[in-house]
Amino acid sequence: MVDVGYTHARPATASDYFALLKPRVMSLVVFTALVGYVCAPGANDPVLGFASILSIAIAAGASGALNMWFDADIDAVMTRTRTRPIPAGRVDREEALMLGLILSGLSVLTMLLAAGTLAAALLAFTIFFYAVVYTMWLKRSTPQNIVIGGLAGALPPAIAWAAKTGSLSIEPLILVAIIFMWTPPHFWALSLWQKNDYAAAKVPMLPVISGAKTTRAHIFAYSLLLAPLGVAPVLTHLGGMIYAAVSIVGGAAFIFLATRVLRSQAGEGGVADKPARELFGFSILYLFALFAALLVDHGLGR
Amino acid sequence: MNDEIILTPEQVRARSRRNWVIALSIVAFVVLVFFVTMARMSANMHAAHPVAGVAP
Repeated sequence: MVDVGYTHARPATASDYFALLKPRVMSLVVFTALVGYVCAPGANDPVLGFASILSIAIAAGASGALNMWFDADIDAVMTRTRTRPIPAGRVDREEALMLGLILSGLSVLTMLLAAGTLAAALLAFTIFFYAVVYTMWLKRSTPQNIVIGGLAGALPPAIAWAAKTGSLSIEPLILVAIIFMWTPPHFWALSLWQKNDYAAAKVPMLPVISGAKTTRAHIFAYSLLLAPLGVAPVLTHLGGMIYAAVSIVGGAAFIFLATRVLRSQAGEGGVADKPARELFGFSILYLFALFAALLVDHGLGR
Repeated sequence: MNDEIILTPEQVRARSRRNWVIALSIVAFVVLVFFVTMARMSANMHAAHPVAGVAP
């Protein structure tokens, strides 16, 4: 007789498997994809639109599960991630791998059925880029990991655009560029006060390799590029008056907070990290506000 | 020697809940594929036979 009660802290529930899908990351992906879909030209088809965005959400979740499968050793070391289902002992690594592979296949298949080849191919590429290029290669090998890897998180609005129109144009690519340029200052702000964790896990984040001062300068430089890029949708008439106001005010506030980080000792620990925490929090609000403004502009029948 | 695995009542309950979630997920996927297929067929039929007088 075998007692299997020893393997897990407690029996895995459905919520543990749901946690493998990184629901918080998924929520931002769903939101940016929704905006990409609504802003794309043509009539909104509720069924095909729902299926397309659900496919993107499931693909993001699958990528998260594959990431947790591969990075279980890192997650077990870092304070922020050690309560995740695998390091906490509630879910086996192989289960996360299987869940990730199955959901990857189903999401691409559903997208193919609902929206055609281009959107499905972009979705498959995004999963591959996040799980293989970022997780397996870049994350452990270069301080530019999140710069290049950020492409995976930036693509959802373009995938949703392609799902609705069957093609791509400059407008969705600008949205991709905004999220791509937003990712480095967002994650570097986080890594400034988590650099000891990253160092312990041997992840070569920028503050670990080049120091806090260089990271603060990089955050500032990317913020200077991001703020004007954030206004670019106004030039292509994707964004209207509300978007223009939000992107100009938000961009100015982003640069202001990045300047405070630049002039601070953020990354040295304790209260010195406060400007980095403020920029991190604001960066989420900024991206949400930009896409919400697009949604409002288009919802108001521009 | 008997290698039969005996689950605790808590493990049985957890497995039952997981099974229900998997079953509901499969049903939801089948329903989704049905509605997507209907929507695509409807769109394709409309494209093949547009309503007279209405630009495609």
